[in-house]
Amino acid sequence: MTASDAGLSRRRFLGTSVLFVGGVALSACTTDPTGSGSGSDAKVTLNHWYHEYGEAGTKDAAIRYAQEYTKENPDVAVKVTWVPGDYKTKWQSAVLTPEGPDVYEINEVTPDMVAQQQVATLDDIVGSVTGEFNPATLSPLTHSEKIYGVPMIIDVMLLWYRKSALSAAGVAPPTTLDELVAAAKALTKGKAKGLFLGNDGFSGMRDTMPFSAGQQFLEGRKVVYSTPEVATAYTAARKLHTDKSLLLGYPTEWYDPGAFISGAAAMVWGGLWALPKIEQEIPGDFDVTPWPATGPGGKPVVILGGWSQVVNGKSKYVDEAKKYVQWLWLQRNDLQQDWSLSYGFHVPPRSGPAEAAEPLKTGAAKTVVDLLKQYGIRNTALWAPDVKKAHDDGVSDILKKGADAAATLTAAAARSQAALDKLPQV
Amino acid sequence: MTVPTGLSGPHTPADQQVDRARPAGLGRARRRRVDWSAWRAFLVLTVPLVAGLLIFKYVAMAWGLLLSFSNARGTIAVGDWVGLDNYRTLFTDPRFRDSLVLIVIFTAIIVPLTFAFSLGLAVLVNRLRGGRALFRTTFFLPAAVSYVVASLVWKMSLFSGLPSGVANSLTGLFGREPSAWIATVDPPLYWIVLITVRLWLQVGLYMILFLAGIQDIPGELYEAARVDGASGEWRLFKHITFPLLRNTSVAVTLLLVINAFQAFDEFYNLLSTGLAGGPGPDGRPPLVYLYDMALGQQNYGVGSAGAFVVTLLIVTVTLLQSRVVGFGKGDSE
Repeated sequence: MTASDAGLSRRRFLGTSVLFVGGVALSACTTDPTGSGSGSDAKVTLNHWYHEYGEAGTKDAAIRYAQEYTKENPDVAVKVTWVPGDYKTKWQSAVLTPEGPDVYEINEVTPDMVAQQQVATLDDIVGSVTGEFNPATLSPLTHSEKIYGVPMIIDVMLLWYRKSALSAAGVAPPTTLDELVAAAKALTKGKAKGLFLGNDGFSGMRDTMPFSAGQQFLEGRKVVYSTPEVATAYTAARKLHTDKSLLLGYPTEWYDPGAFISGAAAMVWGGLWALPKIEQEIPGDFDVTPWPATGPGGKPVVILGGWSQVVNGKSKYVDEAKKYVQWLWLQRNDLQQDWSLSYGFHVPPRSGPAEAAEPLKTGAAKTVVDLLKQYGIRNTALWAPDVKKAHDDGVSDILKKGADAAATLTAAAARSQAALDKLPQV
Repeated sequence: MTVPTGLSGPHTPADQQVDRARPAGLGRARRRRVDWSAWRAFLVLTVPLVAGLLIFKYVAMAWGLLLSFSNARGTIAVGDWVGLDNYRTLFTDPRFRDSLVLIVIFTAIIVPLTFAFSLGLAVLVNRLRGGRALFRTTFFLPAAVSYVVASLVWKMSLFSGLPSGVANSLTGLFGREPSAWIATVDPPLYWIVLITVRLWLQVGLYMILFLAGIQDIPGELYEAARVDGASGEWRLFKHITFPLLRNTSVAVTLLLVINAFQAFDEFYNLLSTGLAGGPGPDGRPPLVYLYDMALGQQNYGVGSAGAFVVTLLIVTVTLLQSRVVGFGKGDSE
C-alpha cells in the first residue's frame, strides 16, 4: 500500500502525527475527568494536582482513588493532573488564575497563601479529628488556630549509618554533635567520606540545628534562633567542612539513597521513603539514629516532613472539593494506608491507619516510628520561605566560609524578623 | 512627501508647485489602488507579530512596572500601592547587593575571556588551508547545546566531587587531593566551573561572527601592507585585521555584556541542590535572586522591582559602552 492509495498526503501524515504526539504528551500529564469516561454526566469536575511522586504505581493509585470517588458520587468527576518537574512554581502560578486546581498538595501554608485565598479553611472537616493527628503535622498548616490543610503523608528524616563501616572504624553511633564530627572524620578514608548532608554541605542541617541545641527558630511572631547555644553548635559543625569529612558534589542528592548504598558516605541524612531500596541493597548493614543533641540543654532531633492536601479558596467548587478531600484523606483509612505504604515508605499522619500499618511494626521502620514519636519536630507555619532564607544564607556563610557564628546569626535573625514582620496577620 | 520628478533646469516657484502637485496627485491615486492589497498583506503579516509583541511583551512589561510599585504578595493584582517600598526592600537586602556585585565581577571576567578566545579562534580557523569547514563546525557545535544540558555534564561528569570526576582525575595526576569543585566557595573553585561552561558554550558563536568580519576585509589591504613593508602576522593583525573588525568587536562585546548580565541557567543548574532550593548566597546572580523572590517566595512586587533594576543596569552599561567605543559611528567616519 502506498501513501497515495491510502489518501495519506505527506502533510496530512505530518499533521496527524503531530496531533498524535501532542495527544500522547497531554495524556501523560492529565487524565480524562473520571466521570466523563464512564458515560455518567457529572455536574462538577474537580481538578486535582499532585507533584510527581517518584515511586512506581503512585500515579495509577491517585487515578484509581479519583475513579472510586466518582463511582460513589456520580455528580462529581475528578481530573487528576500529575505535575512533573518544578511543581512549586507551577502551582504557584496556576493559583493566580481562575483556572487553578481545586485541590492540590503543598508542604506548608504560608500567611500569604491564606491572605490571598489560595487555600480555604478546612476546620469543618478536620476540626473534629485533630486529635488523631501528630500535632507537628498540623503546625505548618495552622494560622490563628484555623487549619488549612489535611496531612497526606509524613516523611521522616534522620541520620542513617552503615553498621559495618562504623565497627570497622571503631566508632559508636554518635549521640552528640561533637561525636558526630569526630565520627565523620574517622570514617573518612580513601574514596569514602564520613557524612553526606546534601551537595551544598548542609541541606540536612537546615531545619535541625536550633532544635538540637534546645532552642527554637520562632516563638510566635518573634525570631529567636540567634542564641549563644545555636552559634556554638554551628561553629562546631563548621569542623565538618574544615576536616573535609563531608561528601560534596555527588551525582545524586541527599533524598536519594544512592550515596549511602554505594558506600560513598558512611553516614547520611535521609528519609524513611528510601527504606525499601536500602533494605534491598544492603540488608542488615544499616541503622538509623536521630540528629544528635548539642550542648547541655540539647536534645536529639527527627524531622517531620511530608505533603498536605489543600483546597483552593478561589475554586468554584469549594464545598465539593472539601467533601472529596474529607473522603480521601479522613474517611478512607484503607486508601491512606495504601498511599503511604504500598509504593514508597511513609507514615500515615492519622493515628488510626498508622497504628494499623503492619510494615511499620518491625525492623528499622519500627525504630524510625518510635524515634518519630519521641523526637519528631517541625517548624510552624510562620517559618515561611523569606523568613527561612536569611537563616539559611547565614548558616551557609558560617559553615562554608568560616564567618563568625554569633555575629552572622544576629544579622540573619534581624533580616528574618524584618521578613516575618511583613507577613500578613492571618 | 514629494517624489523626485527628474526634471532639470530652472523653475519658478509656481512651476515647482505644479510639478510637485502633479506626480503627488497621481501618486495618491495610484497609492490608493495599490495600498489596499499591500495594506492587507502588511496587516496579515505584521498584526499577529505586533499583537503578540504588545500583549506578551509590552503589556507584561507595563504590568510588571505597576507591580513593582504594589504590595503584591501571592497575587499579581495591582492596586495596593506602596510607592518605592519594593525598591527600598531590595537595596537594603545585602544579598541583593551581593548579587549585583557578583554579576559585575562575572561580566568583567567572562566578556574579555570570550572575546579573546573567539577572536583568536576566528583568526586561526581563517588561516587554515584545509578543513576550515570542519573546524568551524566543530568549534560552533557547542553553541547548539542547551545551558541546562551543558551544566549537567559539567556538574555530573567533568567537575563532579568524586575522585573519579574528570577534573579530579587530572589534578590527581599532579598529586592533588580530589576537590568538591562546585561546593567549594572558599577558595572559590566553583568559579572555574561557572566560567568554563559558559566559555565552552558561547565561544563558537562569537567565533563565527568574527570569522564573518575577517572574511569581509579585502585581501588587497594585506597585499598593499606587505608591499609597503609590513611583515609579520602580528603586525598585520594589529594594524589591519583588528582595526577593521571594530564594528564586529563592538557588537560582540555588546551582546556578551547583555548575555552575561542575564546569566541564570548555569548558576541555577550547577548550584541548585534539589529540594533544598536554589543556589546558595555565593552563587546567586540577580536573575536567580529575583526568580527566588517571585516564584519561591511569591513576592511578585519585589521580583518585578528587581527586574527593572537589572534592566536599568544593563541599559546603563550598554549606553556607557557605546559612549566609550562609539557604536554606530563607524559608518560616518
